[in-house]
Amino acid sequence: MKNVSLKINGKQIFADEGTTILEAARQSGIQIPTLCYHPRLRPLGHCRLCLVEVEGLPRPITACDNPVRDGMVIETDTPLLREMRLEILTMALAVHPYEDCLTCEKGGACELQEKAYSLQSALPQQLEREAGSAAVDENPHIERDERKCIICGRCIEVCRSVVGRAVFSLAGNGINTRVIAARDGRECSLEEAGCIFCGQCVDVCPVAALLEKGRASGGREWEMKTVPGVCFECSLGCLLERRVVGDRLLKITVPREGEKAAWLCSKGKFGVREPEAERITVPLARENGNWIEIDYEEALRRTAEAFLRIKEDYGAGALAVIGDGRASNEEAYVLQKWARGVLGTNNIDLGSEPAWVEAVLAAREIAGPRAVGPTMAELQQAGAILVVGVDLAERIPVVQMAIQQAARFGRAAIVRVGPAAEDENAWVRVCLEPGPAGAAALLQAIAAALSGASGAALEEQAAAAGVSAEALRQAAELLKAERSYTVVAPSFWEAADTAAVQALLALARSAGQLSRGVRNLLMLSAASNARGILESGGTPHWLPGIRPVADAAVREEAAAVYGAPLPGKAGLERQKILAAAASGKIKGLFACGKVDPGASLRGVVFLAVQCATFDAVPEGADVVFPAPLPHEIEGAYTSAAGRIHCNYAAAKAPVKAGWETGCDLAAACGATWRFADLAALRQEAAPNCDCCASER
Amino acid sequence: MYEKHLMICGATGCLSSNSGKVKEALEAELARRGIKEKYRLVMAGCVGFCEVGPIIVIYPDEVFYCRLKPGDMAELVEKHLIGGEVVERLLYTSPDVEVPGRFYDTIPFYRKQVFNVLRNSGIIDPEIIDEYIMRGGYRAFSRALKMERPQICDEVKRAGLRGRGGAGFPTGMKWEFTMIAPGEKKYVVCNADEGDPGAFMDRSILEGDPHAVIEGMLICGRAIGADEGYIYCRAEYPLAIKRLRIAIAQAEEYGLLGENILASGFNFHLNIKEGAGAFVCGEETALLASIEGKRGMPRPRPPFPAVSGLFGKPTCINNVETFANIPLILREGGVEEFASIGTESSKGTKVFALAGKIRNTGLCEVPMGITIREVIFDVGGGVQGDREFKAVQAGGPSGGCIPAELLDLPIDYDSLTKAGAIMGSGGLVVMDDRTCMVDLARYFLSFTQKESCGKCIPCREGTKRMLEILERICDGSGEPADLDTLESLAFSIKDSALCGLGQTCPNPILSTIRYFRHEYEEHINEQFCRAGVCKALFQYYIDPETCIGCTRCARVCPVSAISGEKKEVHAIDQSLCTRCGSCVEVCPKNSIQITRVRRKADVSS
Repeated sequence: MKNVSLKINGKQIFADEGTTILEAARQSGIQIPTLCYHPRLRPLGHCRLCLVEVEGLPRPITACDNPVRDGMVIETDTPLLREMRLEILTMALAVHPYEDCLTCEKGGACELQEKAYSLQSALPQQLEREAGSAAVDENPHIERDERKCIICGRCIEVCRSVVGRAVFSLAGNGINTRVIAARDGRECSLEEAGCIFCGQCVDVCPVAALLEKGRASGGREWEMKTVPGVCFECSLGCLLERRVVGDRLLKITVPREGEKAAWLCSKGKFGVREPEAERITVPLARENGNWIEIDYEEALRRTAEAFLRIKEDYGAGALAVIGDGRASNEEAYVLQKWARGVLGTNNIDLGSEPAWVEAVLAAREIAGPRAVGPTMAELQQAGAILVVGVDLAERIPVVQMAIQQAARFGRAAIVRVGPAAEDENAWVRVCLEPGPAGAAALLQAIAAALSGASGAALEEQAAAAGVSAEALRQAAELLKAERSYTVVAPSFWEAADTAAVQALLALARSAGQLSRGVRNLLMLSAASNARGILESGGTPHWLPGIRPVADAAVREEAAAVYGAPLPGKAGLERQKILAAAASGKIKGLFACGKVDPGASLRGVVFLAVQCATFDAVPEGADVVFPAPLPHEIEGAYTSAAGRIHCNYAAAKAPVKAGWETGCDLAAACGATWRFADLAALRQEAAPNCDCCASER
Repeated sequence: MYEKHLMICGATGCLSSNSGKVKEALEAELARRGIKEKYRLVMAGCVGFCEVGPIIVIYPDEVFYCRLKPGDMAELVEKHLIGGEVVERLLYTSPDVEVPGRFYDTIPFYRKQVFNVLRNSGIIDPEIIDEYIMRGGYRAFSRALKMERPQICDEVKRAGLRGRGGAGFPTGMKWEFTMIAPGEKKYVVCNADEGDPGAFMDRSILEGDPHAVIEGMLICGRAIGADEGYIYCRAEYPLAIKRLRIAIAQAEEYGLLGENILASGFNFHLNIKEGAGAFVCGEETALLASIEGKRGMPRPRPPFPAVSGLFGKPTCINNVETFANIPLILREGGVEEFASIGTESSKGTKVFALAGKIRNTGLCEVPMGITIREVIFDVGGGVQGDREFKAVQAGGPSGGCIPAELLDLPIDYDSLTKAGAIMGSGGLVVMDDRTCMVDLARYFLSFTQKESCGKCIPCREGTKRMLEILERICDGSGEPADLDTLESLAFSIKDSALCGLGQTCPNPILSTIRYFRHEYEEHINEQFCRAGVCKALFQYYIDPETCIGCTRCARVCPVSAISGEKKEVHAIDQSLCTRCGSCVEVCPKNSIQITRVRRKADVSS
């Protein structure tokens, strides 16, 4: 990249070509006031505060959207500019009810307030304008107060460019210009305008015009403590920051600048602040059809007694431990140690799809254990992205956002395998719908086209896959681009068999996405911590560190650590455990988190569960252990790409941590081991399970 | 064969003064006499003199009939067409001509005009392409087809043509930027979103000579390497749009638009986009957004449209009049001819729309460098009712006023800018002593405030604040500090707003303060509006010396504030008077005069 040299306030500065004046100035420590500028959005040019004088130009220009040029001589702080900025700021304040500053949630974090302070603005008389007369909060997540809106345009821009929607638009003219939620030009509610409540508009709003609902009088921003964490609402594993006052979680946000900056979706942004369902804080037991509160010790005793009796009567194979995919790496380690080393069964599956496990292991084989999948920033720089599966938008919205940005603002060509979704048509270049032969045949055919198949051979593949050879050629051509990625949505694993997994990997290899050290393949499981669970031993066939249970030598090695022999009999996967629970082959079941609502557990004699809220408790549970909420958990989680992030407790849990309950259950069942704290647990898990170490 | 050709002005101005009915009456008369076949009736383009419309020009006799009514047609047919004698009664008469004007050369309105852009308007049938071609049309384009691209840009540069839309950017340079901008796909866009109140140059050109604009766009497309064009025309111009559609269809039929034009390998397709009439859509980036189907809102430049315009492709945007000039320049020897007219920095002619308190309302085309006095007094015939000339507003809401003392200013881009006005698209609104300059500024500010797209703070809120101050001054509650505040705000907004609309909207304020500061001061310090416009700041009184007691004023007063016996001096009850001005309109003796409001303090003393 070419370097240009320029002068700002008499200081010689070098900057990359294409850098804006604002960026160049900030890089050199020169501050230029801004209001509508946001480091993660394209320049908007609405506020005009960042005007600077450039030698040779008749009038000031905005620093946010004008690129530097060689030899520019810029002044950023002349009396004229100061006066002009003050004048503009005064205008902005004239439509902002600054008398509310005393009681505003955004006080201290409001960018307008900050500008008013730093520029020492006078308080102008308010201008009348048409704007709603009160805050609107007809939805569960976002509160809008139009009176505070300064029409900076950030919410409009973030919704269009980042989220790929267009919930907000400008309406009206002159002083009565408003930001409205609109559909087909008609003002409506956020929902009607197609809002997915990802809350990114709230995060970028400089004032309190958009606010997380329900934080009223919870505390001002400067009173909030920031606790870093990771979102485990899906397997992507976005980093986030939890903002708390005392033990109250007031809002969830993302780092604004730097490497960790990201966007969130509705689940990450608004996921759990105040659980809507009733919280469980003490262990419960079912007696005569009613829930009664029992001691923690009593809950442990009842569970251990029942499980040991079943083991004695029916053998360890009648016991099983399942999970909903949200267990932390530490929790997974402890539960599997309990199941294998104490209960004596490999019937443990804390949640992941067998096909996904197969694919991840095969990819690991090729790329090596240290190769990680793409970040969202990398996806945005992609040359081509193959999207396999249909449910990205609902289940992993942040990936969907990154892909649409890569297509719209980057240079990525999107190839999609699956039925064409209407709202995506605009930016999907080639859409291949699997024929009756299914996804496997189609993926094989694309792989063949990528490997250079042509003529009759390709025609044959195309016919088998139920698509045209031309479409295949086109897709293959696009996927040959540099920085080519594949993203696999959770829905793919539901129906995928070994052939489909093999075809997927063959395709990735032919597209240059998968090789030693390269893993441009993002495989997203429906289980949030699928990767961490797999690596921590939370699946039936693999011990921590992804060592095969079937291998006697491996079992010997583990037995030395666990203080008990490990069962050699192959365990059941989650779906099979649920089937066995229905038929009565599984008689004792411990469920960590939610159980699929459709599952029938009528054959189970004793059902123990661990849930945070009442709505997650399955029918027929005998004992319920309480569980912490996401922001109360300290633990490691591994993202689908293979990165380990630590979630720190933002609030003290009123209940035992998941791993503690696991230890206590093991002890109650007769285990001689116990971890004094997380550090001890991580130390033991570390050699076998490197993901429990620290942040990689 | 036709014996005579009757060109009936069919432009919007004359149509609104009933030229349609005149044509019907004429047709009916000819049919009644069974001589319809001998005469060719054409609804032609604008001939400019809207004040005296409807107009019929009869060729080859070269007789200009005006102020026609359907009832005049029988006589016209009887006397002129059959009898061969000129109907004196229907010729142009005016106090400033001794003999009724028979043709353009004898009518003062036309004497100083030079018809370049309007060369065909009123002379050809705009709905027939052959007539345009017969007058040399599309010759410049076919010449351009044989030229190299840089050569075309160079000729436009050498001619010295500057954008006629307002800012006056050199057209050739704009073409060159777009030509060298990398990209396969490029666009030519014609800005026909004429939004200044009182301006109708572009409409008249499109109605009277649509092919000139199409040819200009074709040449531009050839020069910059574009194969598609858009004409962004406001939907309020249905006739212009209709004629454009006809013209495009005919050009396509003749192989002048479409694929492989004139077997040259050059392709060009032309689309019309109807705008909904937002003023800001005249700003080029807002216009492009509107064509793309988005809200018409300007965006920051750079990137300039020449690099990234319509749909992100290099785009050359010019105004209607600019394009209409192009065929003149690109014809053989056109550069020299074009550059021979005008001043050093402003070449060619400029079309102006004369409106306001001017005698000859209409459209005129004059050479650059002509003085304002010549345009207003020689072409325009001076101020209506021989009242005193006060100022002329040039450039609409983005322009400024030019006072009487600057009447001898030559009209060119730079002189006008120096005087605080702008060339603008060419609207000239003349004001007499009954126009209040504070109220004028208030009017334009309320216009820009309503038309502001609301994107940037200075325009959205700054215009509102200036408007509030102006309203306060007009209400009589202005404060001495207001003038400084206004000026300071105006300068800030001028330099900080996002687009041309915001950057120029303070011009009416700045120029009225510059030239009519005393009126502002009078409003603020003396609570007096000498023009009798700001209702709280004056009173009417009846001059007892001249009142003849005709009672007309008393009869017309809607609130019965005037009393007086027949043939006796009347008087106005100030507590009832709403200062609606109806009495002023009807007084035959100009006896109703304006005076300062008598405050209570004055009464007691």
